[in-house]
Amino acid sequence: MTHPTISAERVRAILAAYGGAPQRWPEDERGAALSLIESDPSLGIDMADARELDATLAQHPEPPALTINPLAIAAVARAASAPPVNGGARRRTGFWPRAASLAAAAVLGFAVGVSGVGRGPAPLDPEDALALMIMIEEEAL
Amino acid sequence: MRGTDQLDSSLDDAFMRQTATGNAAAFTQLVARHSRRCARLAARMMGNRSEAEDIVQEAFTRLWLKTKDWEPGGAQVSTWLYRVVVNLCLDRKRKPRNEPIEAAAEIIDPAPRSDDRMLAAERSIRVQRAVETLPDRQRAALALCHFEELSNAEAAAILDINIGALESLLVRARRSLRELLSDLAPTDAARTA
Repeated sequence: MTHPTISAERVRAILAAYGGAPQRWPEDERGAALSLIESDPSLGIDMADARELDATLAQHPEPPALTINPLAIAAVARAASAPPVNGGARRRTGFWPRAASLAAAAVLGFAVGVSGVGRGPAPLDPEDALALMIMIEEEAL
Repeated sequence: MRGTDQLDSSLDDAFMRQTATGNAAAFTQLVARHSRRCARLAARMMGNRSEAEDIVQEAFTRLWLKTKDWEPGGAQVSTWLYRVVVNLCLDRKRKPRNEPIEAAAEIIDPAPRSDDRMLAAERSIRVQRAVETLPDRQRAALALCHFEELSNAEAAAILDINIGALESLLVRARRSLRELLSDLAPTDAARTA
């Protein structure tokens, strides 16, 4: 059976790639695909099949909240983008990863809830803050 | 681009312009607007909280550095960020890892639970592990299209492939997951989710 704007084969390909939830389907094909599924029982079975896997995947755990600190990132990025004062190349490699790790641990920022509402500010760990400041100052020299 | 997308994009462009002048408050707005999704994407791809955090931090550091030559009306900030996150994840996955096995997958909260919740947790672990067995690019495609529900055009742009190639990744990912999880009948709660 062929719909004016989409074939049954294409609908099956959409279900196989995007699953059984229409909101995940390509927007420009969604209406035609739904309309064809309504008129073709065999496609309805394929859609139910795809939804079964969607329901299984819905059991994938929500990732945890991560601590993202915009002020520390800004400090690290400013330091990284500052021109070297003595005209030399950056003396150390691996500045970003180490500084970014510290930034991740630092306190000023806020925790961003990846599954919902973000948490409030956390206290700044003095050792991490000091290490971050020293690293930034050294880099600027 | 839809109206709300266009508005979001213009707002992001304005924050990018202000950040380029050193305005940390504007940058904080960019982080607030995009970090949750970036964090979810990184966590789903890495399956490891500390690595995901590092990647998101690095992606936003790169965004700050990008503000100076950002062209308003061009790429969307969200697409640019997700592409950086995905590439950082793929880079890290390519490197040999020395972490202990038990640290590799730590999304699940191991707190004691009732029987039902234990069962649900076990199912979650099964699904998570099955997703982790997928090749990296299949997992990235699934994270973008299925879990984050991005449009196929945006996901393809992030992965720097055409839509046909994206659909091929998704079909293979879903086929593998169907085989791996065939014995895992969804719960009623999940079915209605």
